[in-house]
Amino acid sequence: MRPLFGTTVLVTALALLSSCRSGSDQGAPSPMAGSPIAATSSPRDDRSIYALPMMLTDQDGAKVGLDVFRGKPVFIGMFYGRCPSACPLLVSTIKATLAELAPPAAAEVRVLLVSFDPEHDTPEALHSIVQQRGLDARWKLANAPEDQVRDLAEILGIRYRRLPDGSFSHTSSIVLLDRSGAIDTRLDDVSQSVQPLAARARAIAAGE
Amino acid sequence: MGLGSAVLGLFAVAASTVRVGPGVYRPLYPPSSAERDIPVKAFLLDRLPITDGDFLAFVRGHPEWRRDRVPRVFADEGYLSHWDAPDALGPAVDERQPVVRVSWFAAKAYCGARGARLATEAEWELAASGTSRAQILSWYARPDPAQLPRVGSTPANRWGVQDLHGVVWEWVLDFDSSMIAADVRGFCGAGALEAIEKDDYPTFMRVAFRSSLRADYTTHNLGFRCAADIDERGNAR
Repeated sequence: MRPLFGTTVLVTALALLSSCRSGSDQGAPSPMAGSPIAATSSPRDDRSIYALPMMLTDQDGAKVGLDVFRGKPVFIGMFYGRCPSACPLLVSTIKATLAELAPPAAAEVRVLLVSFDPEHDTPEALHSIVQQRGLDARWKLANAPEDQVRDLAEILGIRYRRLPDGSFSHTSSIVLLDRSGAIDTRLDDVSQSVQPLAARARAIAAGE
Repeated sequence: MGLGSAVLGLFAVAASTVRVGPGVYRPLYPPSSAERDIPVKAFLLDRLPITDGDFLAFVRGHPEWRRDRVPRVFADEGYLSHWDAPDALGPAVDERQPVVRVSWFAAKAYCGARGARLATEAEWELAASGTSRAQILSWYARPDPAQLPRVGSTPANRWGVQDLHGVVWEWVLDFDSSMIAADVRGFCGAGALEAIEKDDYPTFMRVAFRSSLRADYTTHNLGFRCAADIDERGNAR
């Protein structure tokens, strides 16, 4: 066995095996989950995901860059509008996190959700989700060209695959970006407590 | 940073690319019941992995991908660390060796600059299906040589592609998407208990390895090659 891969293959294999034992209705934990992602910016500020060139189109049809909320704490995630369960849960979990915040953090924080499905999540479709879910002005839902969607998913540590029927298999994460766009904190299991996310958002808003 | 914005030239150069497919990719672990047989359209694939010399030319034309300039979110600390300098290979690196220590973002940008893209996992596996399992396992069992062999050191497979096994591991576009805890179905329920060929250890190794990667990772034996769509007349699109 090649030395480098011995460990990673074994770890992955064990992760798969252990998840199998825990029951087939539970997915394998993402190898991404819990892995440390640096929370601080380097001197070159190169931890910012805003280095990714993206052309987003939001629910109002406006063209914006990924850094549309630069300077604010941002909850960013990925979803698709025709998603039956995980994505509505993602929106609810972000709403619950926002509800934990008081001014000034509550006023400063922003939410950016980017669709896996640019074909169906047109500005009109995104707009109707905003209305149906009662999302306020802090929220932006957007689509992006397919190639850029994969770049964003990779940089956020979100895995997805388009299925033959046009639906998507995907992991659901809420990622908190600091003012510069560096990943500060992430929630990879939306059934877990939102308190750490809320606490970090408060700290960033307070200038810590 | 222009991720693949500049075009160096048309992808299809007759001698350097090979037509692969059409065919059917049968994943070892079908991710869902609808994905047991995945049709793969004919596509163009580089006959050989990208070399250090190729990648040096790219970096010189796209200095934002120099190891001293690339944003860390696109490539970890090991990126191109085997080169003498950010813009020079140095005496220890043969320009005909396959480039390694490149991240997925960098590999994707290289292919994009050529008007190409990375192959999908289904495409790569279809291309690799022309190589015998015994040959692959003998490579996996060998320790890494002190010097990577030059590209073209292994025989062409039945598609005419070389070095898919035996030189370096390779990035694919969707390297981390075949094992996902799905929206409504888990990897286990849908796949693991129903592996098609339970003794296909080489494929298990590749899928597990890819699944352990992150897009900013670089390693000493992970390289890449590029692919492109093809039209009915066999021309690159």
